[in-house]
Amino acid sequence: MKVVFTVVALFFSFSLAKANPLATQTVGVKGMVCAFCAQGITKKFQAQKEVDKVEVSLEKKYVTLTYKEGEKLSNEKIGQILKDAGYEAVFNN
Amino acid sequence: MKSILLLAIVLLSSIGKAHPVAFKGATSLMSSNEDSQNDILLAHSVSSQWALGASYAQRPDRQASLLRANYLLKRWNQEDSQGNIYLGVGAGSSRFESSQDFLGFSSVDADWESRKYYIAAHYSHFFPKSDLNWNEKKIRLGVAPYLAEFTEINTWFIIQFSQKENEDIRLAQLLRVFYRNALFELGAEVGGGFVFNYMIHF
Repeated sequence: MKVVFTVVALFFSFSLAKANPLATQTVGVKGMVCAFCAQGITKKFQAQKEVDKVEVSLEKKYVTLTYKEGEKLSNEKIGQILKDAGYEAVFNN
Repeated sequence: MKSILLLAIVLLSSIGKAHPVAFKGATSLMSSNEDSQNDILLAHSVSSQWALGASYAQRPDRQASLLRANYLLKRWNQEDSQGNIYLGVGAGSSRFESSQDFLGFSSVDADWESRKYYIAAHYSHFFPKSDLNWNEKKIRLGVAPYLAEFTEINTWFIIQFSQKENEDIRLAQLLRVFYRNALFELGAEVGGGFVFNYMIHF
């Protein structure tokens, strides 16, 4: 009985861990009006080891960063990356 | 004289190639092509303000090679638009028959664009010799027929007015298409002549 309980508990813990979404952050970008702009921004963020995925919305003028588990970029770092790409970060928090 | 005038055409014509300075670390390959002339430029953006590179120009009777530098003097990042002023300089040599001459170049570019509209102005000054000066002026107006997302193909209709020295003003219509890091422009001048430009960021 104890073994069965342990197996069930482990199963649920793995399931919950898998369902737990990776952390994301959305950052506004001033001046990002074309795909060429977005290309540079995407490339810069994808080069960061903390970042798993980068999504850009030209319509909403923001970048959504999905981080690797346990990782995150500071706002200062994000601001510098966008500055190197030629743009300005807008943080809502 | 004709050959010198031809050389004055767009050696550093960044106006046909979107932004002459890209994001830090970017390498850009740009080329502009018209009747009887081909220009190609390879540039590397060492920062978001400076790009260094080299260009090669081919004309029916001469060739030119230049080392170049472009500088982003001012950028206005707005919520729905962006404006820029760029300065450019270049130095190198031109080869005509068996002679080789020094070439110098300077340029100013200004642009403003939103996702829907685009306007750009260009002035370049080309001096093959100290006592000879040539220049070129361009104005471009563009409109996007639809608002494309980053992952979609972007399309622009562009009208271009250009004038070399004191020649007549020329009018060209262009279709610009770009997707992610590649941009192409195909057009025709009123009265004849084609225009084909491309730009790729790495």
